[in-house]
Amino acid sequence: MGKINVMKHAFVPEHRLVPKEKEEKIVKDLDVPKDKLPKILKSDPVLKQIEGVYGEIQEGRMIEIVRNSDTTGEAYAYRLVVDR
Amino acid sequence: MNQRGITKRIGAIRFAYMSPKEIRKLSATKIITPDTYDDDGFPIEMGLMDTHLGVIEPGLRCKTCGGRVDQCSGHFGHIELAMPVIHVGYVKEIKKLLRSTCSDCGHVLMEDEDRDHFVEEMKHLDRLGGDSLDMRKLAKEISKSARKNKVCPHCKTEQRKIMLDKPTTFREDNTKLTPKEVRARLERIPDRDLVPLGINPHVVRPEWMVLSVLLVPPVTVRPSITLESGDRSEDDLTHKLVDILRINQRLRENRDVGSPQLIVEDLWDLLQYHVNTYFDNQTSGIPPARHRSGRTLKTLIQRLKGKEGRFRQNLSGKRVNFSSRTVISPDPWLSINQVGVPDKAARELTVPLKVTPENIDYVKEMVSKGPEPTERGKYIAGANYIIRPDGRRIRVTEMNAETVAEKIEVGFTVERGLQDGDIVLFNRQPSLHRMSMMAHEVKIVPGKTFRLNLAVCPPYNADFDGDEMNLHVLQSEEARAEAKVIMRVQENILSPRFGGPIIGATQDHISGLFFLTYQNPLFSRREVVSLFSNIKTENFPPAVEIDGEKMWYGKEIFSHFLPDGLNQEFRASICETCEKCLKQECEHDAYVSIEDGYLKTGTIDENAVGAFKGEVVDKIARDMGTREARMFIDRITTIALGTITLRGFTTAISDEDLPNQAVQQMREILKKAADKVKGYAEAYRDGELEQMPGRDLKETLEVMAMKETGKARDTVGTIASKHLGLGNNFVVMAKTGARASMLNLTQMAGALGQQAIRGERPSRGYEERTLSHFERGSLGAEAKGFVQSCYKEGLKPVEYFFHSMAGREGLVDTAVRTSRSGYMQRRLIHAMEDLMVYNDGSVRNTGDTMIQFKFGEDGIDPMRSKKGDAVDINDILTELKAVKRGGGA
Repeated sequence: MGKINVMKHAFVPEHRLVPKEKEEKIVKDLDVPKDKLPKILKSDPVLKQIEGVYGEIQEGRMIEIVRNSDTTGEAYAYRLVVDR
Repeated sequence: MNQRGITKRIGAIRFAYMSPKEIRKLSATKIITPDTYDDDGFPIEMGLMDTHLGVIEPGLRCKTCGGRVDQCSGHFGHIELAMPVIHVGYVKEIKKLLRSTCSDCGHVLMEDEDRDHFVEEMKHLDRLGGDSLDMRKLAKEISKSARKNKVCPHCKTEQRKIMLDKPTTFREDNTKLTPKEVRARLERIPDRDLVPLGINPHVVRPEWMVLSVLLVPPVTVRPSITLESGDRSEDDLTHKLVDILRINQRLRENRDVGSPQLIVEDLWDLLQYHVNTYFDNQTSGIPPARHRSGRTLKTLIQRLKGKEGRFRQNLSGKRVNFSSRTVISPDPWLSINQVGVPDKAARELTVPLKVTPENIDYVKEMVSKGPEPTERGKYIAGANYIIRPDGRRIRVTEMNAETVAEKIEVGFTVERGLQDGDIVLFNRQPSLHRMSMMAHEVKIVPGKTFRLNLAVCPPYNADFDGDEMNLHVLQSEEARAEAKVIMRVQENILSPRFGGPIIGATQDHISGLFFLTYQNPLFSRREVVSLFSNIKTENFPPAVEIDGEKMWYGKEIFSHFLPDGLNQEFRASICETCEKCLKQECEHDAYVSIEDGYLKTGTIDENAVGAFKGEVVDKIARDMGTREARMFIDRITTIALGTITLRGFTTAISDEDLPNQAVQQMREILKKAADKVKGYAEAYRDGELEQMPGRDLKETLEVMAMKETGKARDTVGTIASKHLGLGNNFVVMAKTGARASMLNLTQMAGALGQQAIRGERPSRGYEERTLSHFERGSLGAEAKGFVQSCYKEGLKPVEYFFHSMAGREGLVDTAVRTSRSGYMQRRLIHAMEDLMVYNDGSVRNTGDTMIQFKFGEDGIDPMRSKKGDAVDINDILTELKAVKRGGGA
């Protein structure tokens, strides 16, 4: 059985790695301490997939998720990469 | 002020197991005898009712603290168990520990380095701010990895498989482990090996999970009750403790005299059973302990758990004072903001009134009139109690009223009965949304029922077939102010559920406004005076002169109540959705056009003023404010009822009368449909039916039959409505949205149509047929629940049977749905109860964790939205048109 690319599934929204220098601004704009962000596992299949683009993603980095929203068209969300 | 409670800040709470030492230290007395009272009815020393454990009878004093019944809250005792038993609540934890530690040396089944590594990981998790749940998850994983080692890395002992026989028996390779052995093993686990298993050894030792001492709750927890006959009846917990003590004693005796191992073990098991059921009488695998009458005992866990348990019954919800409940009835003369309170209830319910230099004379006069004053037979508020600054209450009676009034000084509080204008909360269960509890102004009424305006029935989902509602009297100025600002009925006209009005006209209101505005009828002077006599108004709408008589147009009358500057255009409920909409020129008078508060064209019906749908109510509440919207609803409902009273309104069987030729036509259509289905069935049998994509042959037949019968009913419906127009009262109700639908009319005048069970034609019953009236394997319309009769003519027996089947399914469905959705909602509420929308529009929980970056992803308040949309483009366009015209806002 070949590896499935979960990113190709219609229900999986776009995930991007937030550049380190942009993290501070986002956290400031959201007015939330970094550890109070929603989490995403380092072992998440999506992260495995985008590591192919960005190289290994360290714990503590931020992921930007762009979802299609019924109310706003595009909705941005941020998640903190955690191990376990 | 309040001297009763001393407040202290709680720094931390720690939950842990109780050690035997702690239990003995806490205990006021050791309990040895299973007897409770002696022959004179006094508690026996060292018995279960020992007065060291507190007192439940007045007159006696607690031997531990010397307090009386109301002063002493009771003290714990203890039972020394002859042999240790396992605590049912901890079996899972014990199993985990036994499996992940060595049976011989007690070390956790992993190398020391691995153990230290895991401990480090735990510390790391703690630093990251992991909560107890994360910790427990990690500990579980550690124990899982320890279990994998079949040989102890420390003493090389081979580990055997440990099984749990529900509820409390442990087996190691089929040999039973006694609680004593289990306890010994738990004792062997070294402190430092407990940390990776999720236990803090400074707080808890695992061997405490096997009981050697049992804590006995105070008598106040399990009071005995004395029946009228003088007999004592003990609490379930006491009964259970008696059982435990009896077996404990027998076990001790047998053990001490050296009885055979078998007998001792049996008694030991029995003791274990009694202790198990003492904690939880519903554990699977053991029969519940029963009372002599056969009733199962309510032991510790049963006291706490579930809907009737301590938490949900007594802690999350409580009975309250200053509340009342009675049957509700309608009162169209009340404002939607008001509630009619019967005088009997108003005398009993009170509001505290602080006596100040400003109101002292007024208060004195009120108190001097006694608790039930009247003025020319009419209710006026009286005073029930006065409360002195030291907290003493004095009841005001007819006798002492004058003297008590004299004594009143500034600083006293007087509890007076309700009077018109007081703010109260009004509620109907089930309280499914926030509009189920709203603030109303009191209006004292005669009779014994609460009264409410019909327009507030929709938010409460109330009707008057015996519904009861609750009323709560607010006790503080702050509460009243808050309720008035955020809970008043007028503040809840717009619903946060769907961005539209939930309060508005219903039923006869809608029919009434239809007759007022449809085709713009004329009203005579007499009629208009009658209409306006119910309403406070300074001026009348302009009249027209016809044949020397002053007459008024219906639309003119309605416009009188529309606020100036209102501009709206929308389709009424009676709209026929023609191919091309003629707008203002609509021949059905179904295009509502309001210009600067004047109804130019269109009929006012459900789409204009109805609850859930009313466009006009919606716009007024949105643009002109809630006060304006309340006045609008109050006045148009009154006018509507006036109109419908003038005209008279009824529906009868004759409303379903159709000309013979129409009936004939219907019969033919139904017959044709049945024949067609028969044709399909034959084609199916002969294998000539063309299969539909994605369906097998049988399904194809069913789909085609359903489609055919459905079409037949629709055609019958159109024939019926062609012959019955808006001159028919039933049609008026259906089309305006006042009540019922055109389908109901079709079923009464035309045919019921296909009856469906689980969305399909009836299929079960006899062998290869639904009823014995049909041939085997018959698939025709009649044999599968196609009802060609109508309600008016009556059903054939077979048709009636199919109709009953579908009817039963409907009833069962609603019953199942309500219970299931209720539980679903309960779980949702629990999942979301600590979420809050912050000022920046983000949703976070009480732990400040971000849940949603913007509420609903767009940050729109649904209550202020237009059916969920932030912007109502059509409304803006109409307003612009108005500006262009030179009127409007």
